[in-house]
Order: sequence, then C-alpha cells, then structure tokens
Amino acid sequence: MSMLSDLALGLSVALTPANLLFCLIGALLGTLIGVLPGVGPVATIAMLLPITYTLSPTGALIMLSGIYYGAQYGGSTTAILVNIPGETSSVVTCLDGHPMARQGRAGPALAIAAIGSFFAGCVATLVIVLVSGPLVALAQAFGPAEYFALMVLGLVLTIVLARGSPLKAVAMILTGLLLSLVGTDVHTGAERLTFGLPLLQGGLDFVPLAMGVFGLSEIVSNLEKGEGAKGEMIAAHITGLMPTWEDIKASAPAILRGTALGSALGVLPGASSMIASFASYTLEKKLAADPSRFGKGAIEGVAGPESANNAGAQVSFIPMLTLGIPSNSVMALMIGAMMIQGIQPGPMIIAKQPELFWGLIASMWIGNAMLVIINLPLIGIWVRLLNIPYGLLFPAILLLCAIGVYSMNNEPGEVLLTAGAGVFGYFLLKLRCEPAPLLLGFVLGAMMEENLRRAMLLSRGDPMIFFSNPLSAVLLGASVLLILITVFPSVKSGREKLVED
Amino acid sequence: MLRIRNPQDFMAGLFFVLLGAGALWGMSDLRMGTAVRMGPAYIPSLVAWALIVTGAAIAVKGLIIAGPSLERWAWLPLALICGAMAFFGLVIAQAGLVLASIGVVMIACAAAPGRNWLHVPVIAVVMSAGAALLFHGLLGLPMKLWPW
Amino acid sequence: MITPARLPFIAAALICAGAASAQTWPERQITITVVTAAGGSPDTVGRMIAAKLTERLGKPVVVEINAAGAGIAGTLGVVRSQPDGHNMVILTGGTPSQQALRPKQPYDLTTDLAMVTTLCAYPMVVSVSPKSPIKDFKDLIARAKANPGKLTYSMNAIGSLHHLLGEWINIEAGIDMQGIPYRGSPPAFMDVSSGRVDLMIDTGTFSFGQIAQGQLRALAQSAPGKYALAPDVPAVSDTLPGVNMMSWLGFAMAKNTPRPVIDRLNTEVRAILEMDDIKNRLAEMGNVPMPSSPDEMLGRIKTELAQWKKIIDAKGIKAE
Repeated sequence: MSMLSDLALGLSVALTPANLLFCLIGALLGTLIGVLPGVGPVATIAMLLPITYTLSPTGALIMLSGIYYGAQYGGSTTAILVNIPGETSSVVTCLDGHPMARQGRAGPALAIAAIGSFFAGCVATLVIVLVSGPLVALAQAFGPAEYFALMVLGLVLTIVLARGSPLKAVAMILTGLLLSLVGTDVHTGAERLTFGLPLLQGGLDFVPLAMGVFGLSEIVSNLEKGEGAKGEMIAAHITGLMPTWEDIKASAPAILRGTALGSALGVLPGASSMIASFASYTLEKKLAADPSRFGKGAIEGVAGPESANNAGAQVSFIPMLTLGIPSNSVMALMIGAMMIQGIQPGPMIIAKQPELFWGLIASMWIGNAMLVIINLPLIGIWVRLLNIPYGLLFPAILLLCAIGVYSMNNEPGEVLLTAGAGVFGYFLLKLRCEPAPLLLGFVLGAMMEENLRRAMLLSRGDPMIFFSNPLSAVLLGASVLLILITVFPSVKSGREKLVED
Repeated sequence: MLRIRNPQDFMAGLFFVLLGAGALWGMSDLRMGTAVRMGPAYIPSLVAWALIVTGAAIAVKGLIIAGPSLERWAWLPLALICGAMAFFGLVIAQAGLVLASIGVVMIACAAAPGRNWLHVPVIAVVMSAGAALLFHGLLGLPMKLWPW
Repeated sequence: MITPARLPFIAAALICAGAASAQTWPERQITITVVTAAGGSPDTVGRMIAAKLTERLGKPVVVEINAAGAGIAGTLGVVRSQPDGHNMVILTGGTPSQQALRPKQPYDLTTDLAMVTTLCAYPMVVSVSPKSPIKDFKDLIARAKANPGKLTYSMNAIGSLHHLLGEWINIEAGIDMQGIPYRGSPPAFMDVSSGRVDLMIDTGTFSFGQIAQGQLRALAQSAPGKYALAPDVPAVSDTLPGVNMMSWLGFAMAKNTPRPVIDRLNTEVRAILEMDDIKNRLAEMGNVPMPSSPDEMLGRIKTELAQWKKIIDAKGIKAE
C-alpha cells in the first residue's frame, strides 16, 4: 500500500495551486515552442534555467517537464499540418499525418495524436512507478554491441516500412548514414567530408536537414501544383474536427501497441523514442489488412507512432531519476536545474526528496491531462490555419523555419545549409525517393559507427562480441528475419512485374 | 540502342552512384585502418561503396523495367524558396531580424502565382512585426532586431 | 595622409577613443557566446554570471549558444567581432588542448583573443564502479602493470582533457591503459557502472555528484593537491608527482579590445565571484571560483599548451 500513499503524497504536492500553475505554464510554453519549427525544448529550457533558481525545486522541475512533453505535442502538430518534423521523433508522424491533413482530416489526426499521447503518457507514468528498477537493469545490459544491434534492427525496420521501392529506401538510408558521418571522428579526431568548412566540423544537424528535405521541398512542390494561386488552400474541405467511431476503433489497438513499444524502448538513451515510433509504424503496417493505405492517410499510422513516441519521452525520465544519468539533452538540463538547487539526482533521491520525486511523477499525469485539455480545443484553431490561402501561409511557414533554424545556434551558416537541404530534398522528391529513411539513417548513423567501433575496441577486435552475447544476437537475428520476410515478397512481386513486361 | 525505360529510377541510381563516388573522393586522404582498429575512413567508405552498388542496381533496374518519365522541374519556385531561406542566412547577422524577415517574405511571395504586388509589402511588414513580437518579445531569444 | 610626424597625434586620438569608449561602455547588449551544447557547465555558469553582470553594468548581458561546427564557428565569430567590448566567448580547459591537437585552426588562441579573466575551475576525477575490485589509485597502477594493455578507461574525444590525463598517467606510471572514446559522460557512465569499461576519467562536475550518490567510487582527482570540495579524495600527484590539471572556464574577447573595458569587466567578475550565492551554486557543480588577471589567464593557456603538446608528442596522439 505504500505506493498508494506515495502517489497521494505526490498528488498533494502537484495539486497545490502554485505547482498547478507551473505545470500549466510549462505545458503552454512547451506547446508553443513545439509548434514553432526549429525552436526546441533544449534552447527554451536553457534560457529559463536562471529563472528557475527563484522557484521551489519541485515547481521548477514540474514546469520544465511540462515544457518537455508540451513540446512533444506541439511538434506533432507542425508535422501533421505542414509536414515539417521539428524533432527526430515526429518524422514518422509526417508520413500519414500530413496526408490526412490534405484530405481535410487534420482534426481527427491531431485529436488522435493527442489522445494517443495522453494514454501513452498515463501508462508510461505507471511504468516509471512500477518497473523502473527492471528497466534500469535493461538499460545497463545495453553495451556498445547491443546498441549497435538495436540500431541495425531500427534501419531494417525502415526498409520494411518504405512506401516505394525497397532498393531506393536502402539507398536513402545509406545516404543518411553517409551524411551523419560528416564531421570530426570521435575516435581519431579526423575531419571527414567537411571540405575545410569550420561549420561542418561538428557534423550536420538534424533540424536544418529535416527542415530542408521535408519542409522546403514540400513548399516548392505545393507551389508547383498551383497551390499558391489566389484563395487556394492545402485542404479544400474539412470533414469534421473529431475522430469518428471508426477512427477510434482503428486507432485503439495501435495506441496500445505503440505505448508498449515506447515504454520498453524509451529507457535506452539516444534515439530510442525514434526507433520506437518507427517500430510502431512498421508493426501497424504489417498487421494492417490493407498495408497500401499507409502513407496515404492511415490513422493507425499516426496513432501508434505518436503513442510510442510519447511513452518513450516519458519513460526517458527513469535513467535521470534513478541513476542521475540523462538520456537526452533535455534531461541533462533538468539535472543541471536540480544541481543548481542543491539536489543531486540519483538513486537516493526517492528516499531523500520524496516530495520532489512523487510530486514530479504526479505532475506528469496532470501535465498530460492539461495538454489534452489545451490541445483538443486548439485543434479547431490549427485546422482553421489550413483555411488560410496558401499564398499567405507559405511565406509565414518559410519565415518561421528560417528564424527557427537561426535561433538554434545563432549561426547564419546553418540557415544556408537549410536552403541547400531544400534543393537536395526537391531533387529527391522529383526522383521519387522517400525522405523518411534518409532521416532515420541520419539519426542512427553516427551512433551506429561509434558503438560498432567501441564494441570492437572492447572486444579487442573480436567480431564474435555481437553474437556471443544473447541480447545483441537476438536483435541481429530479428533483423535478419525481417529482411528475409521483406525481401521474399518483393522478389516475388518484382518477378511478376518482369513477367508483365 | 539501349532505351532508358524508367528515367526516374535511372537518374536516381546515377545520383546515388555520384554521391557515393563523391564521398570516396572527399575521403581519399583519410586512413582506412583495419576491421580491428578502424581508421576514420573505414565505415564511411563501406557506406559509400554500398551506396554506389545500390545506386548502380537502381540505375540498371531503370534501364530494364519501364516506369514514369522525368517530371518537369519547377525551377523558379525552387530558386525563390531556397533563395529566400539563403537570403535570411546571408543578411541576418548584419541586418537584424526585422529587415531580414521582410526580405524573406517578399522573395517568397514572388514565388506565389497570382500575387498582388500592392499587398506584398504590407504582408511582409505585418509578418516581420509578428515574428519580432513572437521570437524577441514573447520567447526572448537573444536576436538582433535592427541593423544598428 | 599618415606621416611619421602625425603618428603621435593618431596614437593620442586612438587612446582617447579607447578611453572614451571605455567610459561609455557598455553602449548596448553584451553577448556571451557559449560554444558547447546548451545546459553544459559553460552555459550554466555563463548564464549565472550574465544575470549578475546585467545588474551591475546596466545593459543586458545575454548568453548565445553557438555549438555549430564543434565550437570553432562560435569562437571565430568572436575573434572576428568588433573589438568594442560587446562580444565575449567562454573558453574552457579543453580549448588549449584542442589547439595543441589541431594547430591548423582558423585562429590562434594566444594571439587572436584578448583574455578577460578565468571564472572557475574543477579537477578531473579517476573513478570506478563501486563493485570494481580496484581498491585505490596505487592498486590501479599495480593491476595495470600486471595486465599490460588490458585495462580500459572511458574518456571524451581524442585530445580531450580526459584523454590527456589518462595518457599522462600512462606515461608517468609506465603503464598502458587503453582509452575508449565516448560522446559525453552518460554513455561512458553506463559502461563503467556495468563493468564493461574498467575506470572512468571525467570532469569533477559530473563525477563528484555520482560519487556522492554512491554510484562511482573515487580513486583520485587531478588538482595540484587536496581539492577543497572533496578533501578525502587523494590527488593523482600524491602517487605520481607533477601530474595535475584543472579544467576551467574563462572569458575572452576579440584582440585589440580597449584595455579599460577588459579591466572593468575583470573587476566586475571578481566581485561577482565573491558573492555567496554564486560560490554556493558553483560548489554544487563541483567548481571553485578562480578569478585571474588577463595576463595570468594567458599565461595559464600558454603553460597548458606546452604541457599538452608534450603529452601529445610523447604518445603520438594526432587528429588525422
């Protein structure tokens, strides 16, 4: 029964008017910065840190975590409405979310994303309370070999989910991998493919690439279809703001499965919530009676990944709260905020600061509930944005992108990179190459190389390290299996095509 | 004569081959190393070679299996949209947020068919003011607003 | 036209202009560029000091992150800025080591920047998992000698202070531990705490917190003697005399910034570092305040450059 009393303690802390207000401020601000492409929670939280000195530690953390998951919600909104993934995790949301918006179904897409995220957030909070111990053990079992194997699996999943030709998807993944290897090599300090540009020494950043490849090329292709013409809009007729009963029936299992995937993978640092959302998408596509609907506005393709991604985001609090180890840069900032308040995050925090720990946990529930309450009415406003003539909308989107990229590092060079990525993205679009696999390859590439080389160093050059240890063997085995079941149908259909020729 | 049956795939394949080859060329001065002690070029070269092979396969497939022909390219919108973005990068450090934003919106509006040149400056000024309010006022980003 | 006869006048005019600008300084917002990721200790400390400077100088002092291009782009921006005292960059203990590793950087640390003051310092810490059989620092050396090339330590990128301390210990103790590079402390910690890597060399900022929580056990720290914030952790130099290093943070501006401006800033920062709340916050992060004169800061950088070059040459470390 101690858990109930712990939660009661947490609720009593989180439900004080001051903390409710911090939670609301955080959620609102998070939604706002999440919606703005390029402006991320990291920059915002870093800016707010000095203000948090004056707040109570619990209030500060509640507000900062509100910003964090608020930004996750906001990011999906931009992905669905204008096809710009502001963060790694919303790449998958673009795939079916934006087609839904174009069909006039932005409302249901946004609503199901919010509902799925809320459900996932609630479950993930329970996961934190109940099984954070075993999950931490799982995280510690992941060494370089296991991470490498997991990322291989992630890439294989991308090939499986590719809409068009699998061969082109492979080429796009490889291109993404190559782009991710630009910059200084951690192991040798060598500069690779930087062409002497100081800007590239630290590698390419995700946001300029994603914004260019998805956002700018999308604008150009819309203009080309005549959508900038007077009064023309992205979605001509809007069919209802809320999901229909059919939508909910289709989404419910996807939300459940996505939540499970996100909760399991979220504890691993790095790109785990992105892998979780890709995995969820693949799973839904494989389970669907008619996989060809995916990429054309299948609601399960929004519901599953959004739930996976939000569950993952929530579960990523575990390493921070239990080990004092951040699993992403937002968590690193939260640890900074705690340390400045004189609190050392780590295994002793539950015993030493129960109000803070349980208050934060309880506030996650409240925060997620607030986000649904904030976001469901907002859907009406967001959808009305699509009623703005495109000739007015696209200059605004472009301006927001430009300022967003610049605000990350105050580096004009990155804005130029975005413009370059836009040209690149348009070329790819014209050659019918899907950009999503490129971005996944890009996110995973550098980490894969690092872990592969680290594993080889630790095993003193024995490649058996990947097979001798059970976890990585299982993950690699699963990848091979997936390749086999993907390749065989495609070989078959390829033959059929040849015969038709 | 060999007819290219799927120009889209053929061009895509060619593009990937060139990309891979370019990467190999760009890394020609870096050490490969061995599988045990990998040099900086080891993994990127593997990836580049894989890209060349995949690209070649796509190109060959484009020669054999029929498919759509190349689409027309919208050069002007492409140049204007990416140009507007580049313009922002080029002037923001000197001109400040307000003027750079006005420039971006004006260039972008030139890409819209059926634009009304009387409205464009108004739209640009309004959007620029909005951006300044949002990013500088509300979010407090440390950005220069004016050239001075 | 500039004739030799006019030179004194021009010099006088320039000095007056300098003095005048120092009197009216600051005329507008002062920007502190941080060239590492948001939330790192340069960012956090930078914002703490910026808030106090804003109060004392009457003009906003803001922190701007430019982590693009591994920090080179941001530093270059300050090097090329107007030398009028409105642009600062935060250098770290890692700056000289990077310069030593990459002499071909687009700027020369010692001549292209005017130092203002160092802010604070912390040692590097050698630690192990609490479950590790390694008892103390001497035991570590004995085990490394018994198993040549077998022991591994986690570090940051090539040429980081983590790496240099590891190799310095290798040189002085005559051992051959192998450095495993990581991008940041968290993944390194996970591998050390699970025993895949034998020991961790990391910053005091990261390590002392984990040690306090019982998740790491300290073997030694790299301060020249006892470190005030961790008096019971032995110094590396107790066992290997002469092996000591401190990482630090410090302000620098474009060269030719008027000396009165630099002196004024130096005085203000010194006063800020005396404040109790700043001292406490620094201590929470494992840092001690370390103000210095511009010349002391430049001297420190030069000494470190020479020291790191020695280790880099001895061990054949190079950025390929």
